[in-house]
Amino acid sequence: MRKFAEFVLKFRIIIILLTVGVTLFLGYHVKDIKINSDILSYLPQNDPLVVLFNEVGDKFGGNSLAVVALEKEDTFNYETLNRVNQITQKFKSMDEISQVMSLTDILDIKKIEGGLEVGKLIDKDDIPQDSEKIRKIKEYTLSKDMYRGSLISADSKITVIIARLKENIDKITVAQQMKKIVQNTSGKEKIYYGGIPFQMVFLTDIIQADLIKLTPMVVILVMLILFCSFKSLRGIFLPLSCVLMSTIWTVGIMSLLKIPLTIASDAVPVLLIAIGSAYGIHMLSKYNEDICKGDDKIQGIKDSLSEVGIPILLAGITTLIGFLAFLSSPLGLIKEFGFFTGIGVLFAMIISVTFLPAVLSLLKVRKIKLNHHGVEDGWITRIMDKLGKFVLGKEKFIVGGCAGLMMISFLAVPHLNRNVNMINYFKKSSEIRQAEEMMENKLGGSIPVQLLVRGDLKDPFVLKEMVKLEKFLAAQPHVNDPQSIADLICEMNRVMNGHSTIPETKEEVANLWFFIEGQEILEQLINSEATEGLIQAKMGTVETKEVDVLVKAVNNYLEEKLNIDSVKIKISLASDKLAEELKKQRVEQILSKIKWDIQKRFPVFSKGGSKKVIIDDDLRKIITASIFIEKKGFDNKFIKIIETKISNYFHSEEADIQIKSKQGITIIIRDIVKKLQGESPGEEDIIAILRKNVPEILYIEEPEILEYTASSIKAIINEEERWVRANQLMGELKPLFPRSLRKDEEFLKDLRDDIWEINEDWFALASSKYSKFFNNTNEPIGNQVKLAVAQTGMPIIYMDIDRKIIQSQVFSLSIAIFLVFILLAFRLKSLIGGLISIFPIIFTILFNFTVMSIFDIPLDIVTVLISSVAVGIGIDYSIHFIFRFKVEFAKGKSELEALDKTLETTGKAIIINALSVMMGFLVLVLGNIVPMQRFGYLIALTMIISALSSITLLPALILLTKAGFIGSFDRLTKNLISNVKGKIKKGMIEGVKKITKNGS
Amino acid sequence: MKEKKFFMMIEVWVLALVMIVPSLAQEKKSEAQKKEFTALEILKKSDSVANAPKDQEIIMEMILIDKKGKQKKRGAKMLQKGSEKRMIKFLSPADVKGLAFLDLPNDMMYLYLPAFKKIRRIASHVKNTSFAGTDFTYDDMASINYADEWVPGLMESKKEIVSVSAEKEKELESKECEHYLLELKPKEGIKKDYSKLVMWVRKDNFYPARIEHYSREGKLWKIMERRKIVKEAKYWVSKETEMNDLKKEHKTKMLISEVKFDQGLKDELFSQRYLKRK
Repeated sequence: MRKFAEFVLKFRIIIILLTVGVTLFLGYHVKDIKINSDILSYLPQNDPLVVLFNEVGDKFGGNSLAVVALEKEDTFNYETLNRVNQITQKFKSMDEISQVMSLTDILDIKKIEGGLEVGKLIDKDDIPQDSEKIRKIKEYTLSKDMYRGSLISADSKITVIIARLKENIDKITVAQQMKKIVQNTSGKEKIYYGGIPFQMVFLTDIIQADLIKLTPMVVILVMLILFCSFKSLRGIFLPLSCVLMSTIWTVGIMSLLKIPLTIASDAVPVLLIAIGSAYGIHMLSKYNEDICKGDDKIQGIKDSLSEVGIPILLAGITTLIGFLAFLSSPLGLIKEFGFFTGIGVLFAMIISVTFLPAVLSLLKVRKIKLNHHGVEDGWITRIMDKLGKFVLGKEKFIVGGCAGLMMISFLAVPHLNRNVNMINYFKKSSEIRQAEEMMENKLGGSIPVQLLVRGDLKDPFVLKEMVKLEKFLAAQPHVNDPQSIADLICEMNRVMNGHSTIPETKEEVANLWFFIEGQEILEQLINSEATEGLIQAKMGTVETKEVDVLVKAVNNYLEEKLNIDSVKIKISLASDKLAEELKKQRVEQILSKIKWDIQKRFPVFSKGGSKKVIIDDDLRKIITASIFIEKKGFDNKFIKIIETKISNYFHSEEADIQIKSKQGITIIIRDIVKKLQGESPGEEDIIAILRKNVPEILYIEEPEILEYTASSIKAIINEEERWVRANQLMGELKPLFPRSLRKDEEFLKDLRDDIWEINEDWFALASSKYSKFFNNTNEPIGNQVKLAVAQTGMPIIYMDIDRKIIQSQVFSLSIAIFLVFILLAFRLKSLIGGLISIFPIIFTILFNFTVMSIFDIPLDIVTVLISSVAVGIGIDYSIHFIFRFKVEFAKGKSELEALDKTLETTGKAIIINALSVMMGFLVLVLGNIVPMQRFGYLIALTMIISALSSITLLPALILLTKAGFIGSFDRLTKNLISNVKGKIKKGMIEGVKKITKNGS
Repeated sequence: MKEKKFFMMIEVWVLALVMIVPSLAQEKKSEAQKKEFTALEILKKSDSVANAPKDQEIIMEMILIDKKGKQKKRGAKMLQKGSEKRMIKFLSPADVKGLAFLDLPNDMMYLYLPAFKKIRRIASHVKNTSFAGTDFTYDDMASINYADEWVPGLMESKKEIVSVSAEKEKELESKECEHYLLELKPKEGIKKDYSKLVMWVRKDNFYPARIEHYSREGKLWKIMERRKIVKEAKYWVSKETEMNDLKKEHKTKMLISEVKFDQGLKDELFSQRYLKRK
């Protein structure tokens, strides 16, 4: 080390110039540092779940949705709608936005008598002003699932404008422009901004603000601390210049490597300034000490550097280990943070042992006031004196107490809370959180739960599986508004046919599909070939536990309940045995749908509070009866309806055959009705009736019009039959439900749609079950239906991150502790020595986890860093202490004397350093990022604990074990020890007496 | 001498005058020929050319092309009588075969769903929404008389030509002189999604070859181009029409494979009854 000192002194000018040069070069690049505010980019990009999530985001545009929400007591008023319209139109005219949806720009397909009305919900050129009109539109809008909960909150207080940004654009700039547009419109509504683009703007601002606010604060703090401890300009500026330069180097290198600052690494400058000062402080205080001893300047530097150089190096390396251990983390965010803080620390250390002594050697020697020990006098020194005496007298008590605390921590640690939702990383009062909270309360949440469906989406049975999946999802607690292409098809079916179900045949689906083809909304639901579709729901909680429950429930469903491979069979063509099986399965399918629909209304929250509605068996009986028992004949009411409908048909323009005579029509209807009394007539029967009753002249030119007519009439009868069956079953089922459900119009609609399949003939049977029948009998071979569903969306990613956070914690901590142990054991040439040195830090870490557990501070992407950082920094205190203690002990002093001396010198430096680092970290509490705040105060706490434990627990352990690595304890007689102890006790008693005296 | 010179000068002047005047006159004449038509006249002529046939039966293919270049095809048969009665019946793909629209005067529109054997009336504010997933709106599909709803203005100066590519722009530039360029603004009281249209009307036959649609914010939004303009029987018809939605980055090509004019289509064909026929 002495050689190194000589080297430094020899090349001092070059060292200074080089350091300044590098600083200038890298400092120039600092200005180019970028901020990465894309939260999604923080996810581990090569993780298969993240790959899928990003893929889905790109394909369906979900990651580029910007949401503007307007809040007012009732948003259905002219002013608000007008404002929504203005914003919508302005957004639409932006080149970077590919589509905009809002109340004033959304396709609406309305059912009207005998048809449908296609148009916009609210015409942008004719925003209603009349209160009656507004009331009607409000009522209508709130009645539709498609709008309620997505474009407008159920209480109509919130309405949103959703804009989809194009790919490959600067989202931040565009989002800023959008914000400006909104701000330029006038109105009294409260505005919220949500979605990734706006979150990016917010995050960029927050990171910038934190950097600009916190960095100068920590600099000033460090300066204050340095002033208090050195009371000289050089004492302030030398260590400060070391940390500032190392910070500039680090950020400069990040900038050169084009690595942007993230929500975690934005703390690097603050951290480096806080931690890095330690090396300079140690160097300078040792130098001051040596100068006081009477060394001349050059000699002083040589002495200090050779004596304190090794501990500084060791301390630096261990800190480096603490940070570099994060490279084992699967999360890039943590890796980057660890790596750059690590190299920053390395720079600070290098600068402190090169640049600092080099500058010192050029400065004049400063006179320092001496106390009797030859060190600066001060309050810390006085405290240290007392501390030394205390430790020596109570070593067993100290060790025992710590051991007790550690036992407690083993109980507390398993209860550590975790938190992965990044929205939680912002203050409750922040814009981003407020928007989130509003979304949670009014619009069912903002966390996307997504299921990617692969299969032929134009196949009715793929769509039917999707409907089931959505019903299942909606039944899960905190999950709201699942939407997919299946809903649009159901909605089209409702408009066309009155019931919101997926039709049975491909042709029917295709007919309905035709209308929505080309609609903008499709881009968010399916790919252009309709081979991939997205089911998207919203989750309205940020609780990690709830998220976990959902992810598992969904995966469970996908693995066990989803029909991924089935065969379409017409029940009417199947053998009796197969038909029975199919019908039974249909009953179960209907039952599960009904159950989900009930659960949706009475969610079973994992935190209790569930209302159970058990109606299983009765439901099953009635539905089974409806499916199995063939109805024969029709009642009079039904026949009356049929009569009217057929008559209407014949009189309408639609009639395929124009029969002028009313008499003729009546006769035809009479004949058909006669047939109906037996069994439902087939087309052939109807043709026969027509042939008998219609004058040949009407169809002689086009004989096929008889078939058209028959087919039209058959369709009318079929349709009516289905309604009758469904309504009859509804009537039987209704009494089984509690009053609240019986009165719930929405539920009754759902119920009708659930049971509608009793009218259907096709059924999709799982291939595995099918083969059982197929092998035995001559069953019809149906078409196969295949689909695959993968869970994606934020919840599953959150759980993935959660796992990775825990992995990070375990790996980085074990690696750090292990490496530090090896390093120290090697250096001290003693395993016991290594163990004893790391003991205080293990205690500190457990203490930290206990505090986190007791105060419910969650483990998140930032707080996960604490323990390894604590190892890296905290171990320094043990190192400094042990080395000094060894040196003093080797000088032949008694334990007390050695301890006294160590505490007065190194102990003091440790406390100053811990205080200064602590203050530095506490600055983070003033920042805007919640985990960073937690990180700030927790690490401040660990600093104090590790400093205290290294000057109490550590010496207590050494004294207790009399470990050989310190030196030979044998040369001191037991007497001497007890003698000393006695003295201390006496002194203490006297002290106590003094205090009580003074007190009285 | 001087006099001689003077006369010579006069002679030269006269000569010059004699030579120049007729050419001046000629120029004046061609100017007059151009000016013969006002913008409104051009537009009306164009309307009448485009809507000339009494009735027409067209077999066509619609190709929908998305921004990735993926194509979807649809075959359809269109019957039209005058400018107000129209029926479009889809022939392919198989699963929508038979699906049909009937468009009658007074905003009466019907739709037949073969899979459900049902006719549904469509009430419309749909004029400006996409027709069956294409980039044509119902309005675009209809044969409109532009002169009824738009006020034309003749564009004097060479307009700055904007199009999808530089190549295309050059091509258009070279063709500019063959066209009247009309700028159409909506008539007062008529709400349109477009702030203006720029219509390229061919000088030789008054066929509207290209219509640029500008958004309300004044940005070029959609371009309709009629290509392969040929004379079939006595009418001009474009065999290929493309509508390009620049905002959606989506376009639709309509290719006409068969066209029959003036067959004397009966009114009866434009009825709900016939909507159901195969």
